[in-house]
Amino acid sequence: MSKNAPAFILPGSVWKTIFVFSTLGLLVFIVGLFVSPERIWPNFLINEFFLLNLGLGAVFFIAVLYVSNAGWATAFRRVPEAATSVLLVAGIGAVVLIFGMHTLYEWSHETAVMMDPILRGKSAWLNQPFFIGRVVFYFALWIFFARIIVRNSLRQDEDGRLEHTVWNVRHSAIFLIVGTITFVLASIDMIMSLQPHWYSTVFSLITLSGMITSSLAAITILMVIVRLSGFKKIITEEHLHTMSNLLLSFSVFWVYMWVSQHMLIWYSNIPEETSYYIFRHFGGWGSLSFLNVVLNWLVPFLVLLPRASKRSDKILFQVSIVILVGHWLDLYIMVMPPLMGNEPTLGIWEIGMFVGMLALFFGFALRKLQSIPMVPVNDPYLVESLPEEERAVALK
Amino acid sequence: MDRPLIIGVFTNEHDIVGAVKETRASGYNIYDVYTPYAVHGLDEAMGLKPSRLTYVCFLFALLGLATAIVTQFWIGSIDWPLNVGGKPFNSLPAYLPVAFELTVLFGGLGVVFVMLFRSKLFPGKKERSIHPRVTDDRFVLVLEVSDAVTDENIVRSLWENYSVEEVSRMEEMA
Repeated sequence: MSKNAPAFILPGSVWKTIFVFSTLGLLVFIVGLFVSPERIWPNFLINEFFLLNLGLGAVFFIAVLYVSNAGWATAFRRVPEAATSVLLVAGIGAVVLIFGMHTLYEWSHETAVMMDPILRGKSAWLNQPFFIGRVVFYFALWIFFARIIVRNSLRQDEDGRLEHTVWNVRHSAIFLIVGTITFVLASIDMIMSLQPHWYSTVFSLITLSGMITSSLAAITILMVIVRLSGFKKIITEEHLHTMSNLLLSFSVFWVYMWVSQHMLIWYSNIPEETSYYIFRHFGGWGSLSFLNVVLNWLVPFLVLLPRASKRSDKILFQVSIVILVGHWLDLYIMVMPPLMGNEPTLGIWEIGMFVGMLALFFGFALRKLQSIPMVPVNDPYLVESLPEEERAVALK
Repeated sequence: MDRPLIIGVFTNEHDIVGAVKETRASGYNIYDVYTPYAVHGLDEAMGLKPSRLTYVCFLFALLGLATAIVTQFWIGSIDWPLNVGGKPFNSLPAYLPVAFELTVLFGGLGVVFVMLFRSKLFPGKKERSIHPRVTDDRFVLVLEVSDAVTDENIVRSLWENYSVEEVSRMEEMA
């Protein structure tokens, strides 16, 4: 069976915009390194973690599809597959991050550890060589699984063997377990250890749900872009509808986790736990925490409830942008207070790097999409996910 | 219903969807379609409007939310203030679990009762089935005979393209 699947091509002006913004982000980072490194490194951490979320969330999405034998998304599975390609960029970013360790992590200074009995007690886990080793290991593992799953899917296009699906189900099952554990550890290592005295068992669930929500939003944006460049027959409104349902439910899941952590810490009122929210509850940080819940939950929840908005390209695109900004704000509130003090600051460093990171993500994902066939023509589930008119064509 | 009805029995979901589309296109009035399970695309084929129950659900959910917040506020801050761990009497985080529960409870129960009321269903109601096998494996299309022009033979020949199993006429819906 072979079918001439149409190719996905974007106009050159879009590439120019993406190139300009990603270069701008890179410039902001490099200039910032010399002008105010103590402000640029936290920003780098936020965007590095965000980029990792977008790439890894897409792998999770694909893995869940394979493990659950889901057929509905096969027609556009190339979109999340393309999104996983930024994991490599995030991996390079992680190596860069190691140079910023001393600015970011209090526990990386040996003198600070010596003076502090709590840090001394945690030094078996929180020490420099082990941290570097762990981060390298996490990324190697994620990139390995992402590449192998995408490679099998692409090979199936050529030889049409059913084994590729079977192998991918196995790889996905392993990845879902290993990937969740490593991501939980990574968010503890990279973000929670910014305040090494503080700990919360729900914290990784907030980052995990945030990762899934934001990567779903990014995949939705990519889907809308692909749809509008001539794939409306393959990526249908039904697909958009299901994606909106997922977005809606994971945005609710995120706020559920957020409230779980916030309410329990507020209720039990133990000083070593409240130290996290003391920072984030008053003044400018308090308003931002409120805005965080509004952007990540209230807006998507209310907008995505009616059926009509779940099937509209425009509304979905806008809501996804709101969620991406909201997730950035979520990470900003996690990272900044212990490093930047009592009042939030928003300037060219924050905005420039965030926009640059998004441009980098969409640049890599769209470029990958252009270089691979848009439709997995030999996937056994393809027929199930196509609209009825297209099924006959695919079965030929 | 006092008008006579024409009933067609089909054996699979593709046939019934096709028959519904073509019957509507020919200008007949479809009274209802009975299927053993929810058939995808049947709502669009029948031209049914989206259910308004979602709005009812939303309103009930809002009512539940308001009830929970107002009740807890009134109990905790006005009627019987208790000092719990030195927290302010009026604190939103403490209201959230109950607010969530009542939102879901009101929304869920409200929409079910409104649905039962709207479809005139109640426990113990006697309902006659249009066809004995409609809850098993048959798909039934019920056509309203709107005027004298409606000819059973034409309808039958229309449905034969979709391998209709049985066509019968019913003088009125019991």
